[in-house]
Amino acid sequence: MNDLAAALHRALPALRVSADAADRVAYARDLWPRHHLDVRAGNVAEHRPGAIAWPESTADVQELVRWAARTRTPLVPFGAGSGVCAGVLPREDVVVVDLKRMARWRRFDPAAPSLDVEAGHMGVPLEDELNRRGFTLGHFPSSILCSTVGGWVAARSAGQASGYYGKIEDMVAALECVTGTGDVVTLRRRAHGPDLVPLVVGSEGTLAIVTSATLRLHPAPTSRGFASFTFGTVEAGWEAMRAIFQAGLRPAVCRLYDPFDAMIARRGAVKRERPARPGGGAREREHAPGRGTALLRSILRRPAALNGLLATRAGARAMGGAMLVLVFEGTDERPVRDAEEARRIAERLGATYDGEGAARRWLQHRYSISYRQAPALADGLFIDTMEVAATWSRLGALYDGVRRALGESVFVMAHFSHAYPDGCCIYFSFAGSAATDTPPGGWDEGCQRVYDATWQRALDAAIAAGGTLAHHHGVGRSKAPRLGPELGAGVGVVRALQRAFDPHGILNPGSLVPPVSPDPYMHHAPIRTPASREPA
Amino acid sequence: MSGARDVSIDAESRLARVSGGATLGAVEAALAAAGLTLGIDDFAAVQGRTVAAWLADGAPGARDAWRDPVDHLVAGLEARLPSGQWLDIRPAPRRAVGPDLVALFAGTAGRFGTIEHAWLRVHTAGAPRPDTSPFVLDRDPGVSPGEEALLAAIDRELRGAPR
Repeated sequence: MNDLAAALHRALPALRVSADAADRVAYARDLWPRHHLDVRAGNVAEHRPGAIAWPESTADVQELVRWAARTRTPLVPFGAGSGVCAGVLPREDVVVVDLKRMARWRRFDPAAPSLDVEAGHMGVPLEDELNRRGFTLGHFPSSILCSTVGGWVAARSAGQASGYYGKIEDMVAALECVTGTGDVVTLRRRAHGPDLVPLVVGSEGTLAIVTSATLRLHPAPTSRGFASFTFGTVEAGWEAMRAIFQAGLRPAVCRLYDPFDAMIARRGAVKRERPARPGGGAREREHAPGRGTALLRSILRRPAALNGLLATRAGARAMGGAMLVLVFEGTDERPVRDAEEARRIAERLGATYDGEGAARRWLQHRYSISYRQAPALADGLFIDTMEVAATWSRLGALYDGVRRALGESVFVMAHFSHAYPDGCCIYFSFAGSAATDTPPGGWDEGCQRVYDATWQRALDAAIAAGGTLAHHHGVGRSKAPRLGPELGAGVGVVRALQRAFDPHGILNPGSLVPPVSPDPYMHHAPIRTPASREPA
Repeated sequence: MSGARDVSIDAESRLARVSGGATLGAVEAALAAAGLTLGIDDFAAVQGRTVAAWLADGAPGARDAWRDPVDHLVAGLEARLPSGQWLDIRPAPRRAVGPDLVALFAGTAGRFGTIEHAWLRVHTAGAPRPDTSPFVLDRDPGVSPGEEALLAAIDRELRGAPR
């Protein structure tokens, strides 16, 4: 046990604490893809916390925060670690606070209907139990197998059925949280204000540690309506999405895939097992890539031509066009009726109706596509996703601008997975590699350079197009340096909120806001981040 | 202060950028010319109020947000902070870049700044609006001492009071 864990144990002997080497490695990061490049390069856990604590009650969290405030010990709240923006990047003097032992149902009210549930509850068992009781939360992020209620709230998560149920911020009726002074406060939504809930939702653990959330529930769906369509261009597809939402229809699932993404989706999105290869892991293959890997790396070193080709009308035609899938949900005949109405709208806008099959297959395999990073990483590549959003009038500029920015250095595809009456989210997926066969510093460092430059260019393009940096992944440390261009004086307001909720600056310091700023509200000391790991 | 010049419409996004000083009546008239509406219930009771005052008061008459979770009332706004700084929250359907700063101005009686412009959701006049399943809860519970303490701390920090 190290000094930090020993001090914590002395102060709070009943609290479960660990400074075990394996635990410190396990809690050294979230799922930021750049971490994966570090791991591949042999830096398994550069940012290890000093200790990990597992509170079992709000009182435990309160005592822990009060101790941390007294000793000025930074705390990093932790759900299941599925964040992808470096929201978790501890250091030796940090205690990671894993909330997963707080997973009780506090109050289930079938009449409202609502559920007050502790923040550490995992997604799938929550939805399963709600279904058994005839209800649904309606929140199905791709990370549902490895994320918690508290994580959803912290990051402003979105689920695949957001077209009917909304995002997590549209589901929270109240939050119990512990502020940086150790005060336990219940924040409640109010129709006519004041409403502090929207301030803590999305604050990424920097304002308070959320200990429970009261969530609005819906009756579990007993009927569904399905439809799928092909469009000649992705633009025609999003015009149909816009018309559908502005007509007052609310498909729970509304996903438009650009032609390349559609080509993959049409294959069923079924995860295939790859046979184990002899010869060990990525390090060995780095030095002697197979013929397929070498070809892939070669293509990804010059992605602009391929991206350009696929963006043409001929390219779109060759791949079968853009694909839209719709799934309506409800408890009566309305979903089928609404699917028919959506079909009339889509066909009026030039769609070819493809029946229900693709939408039904999508629902069946809804989580299959989210865990395919490993094979690409093993082949020496990198993969990441970027989710941005804009109003409908700026969507074309956002799509073109970000796609062009990404496409200079990585292979890019996109789908549009969260629509609203006033705008839409674009979810870009991209794959890249080092710029040359033998980059200075080695292959993995070469990949990191391309990765950093790609992200910076794409975030700048999103801002220039009038979009937002993030729709549901959050900011963390990876996007924090670009927050100023989007929020302007809002960055100072966020810092003021941090001081109000957490005057000692102990809650996840260094995340969400830029690390250094001349802003007069500046209070928090920037977290130490090695220059080589700082996003460009 | 109010008139058509105070309202610019992004019909494609069903949004309108309106001046905080414009009356709701003037905004609604400008929207009506484009076949749009704010969709406020009991409009007669609020039409003489300015947009800034109406939002600061919690938008009485606006449709209950729980009825259509996919929609929202304010997509963005521009406000003058107590420090004199200008805050521009650009319109977006949803975002995940930290706290939703609109909450500092909607329903807070002008405590944290003055709304200069707001991007409001507008609707096709006469068109039905969706309703999800019923949700019954206290829409306006009282403000607890803990919440009031946080509001006071925010107020203090936004005014940059030395500590």
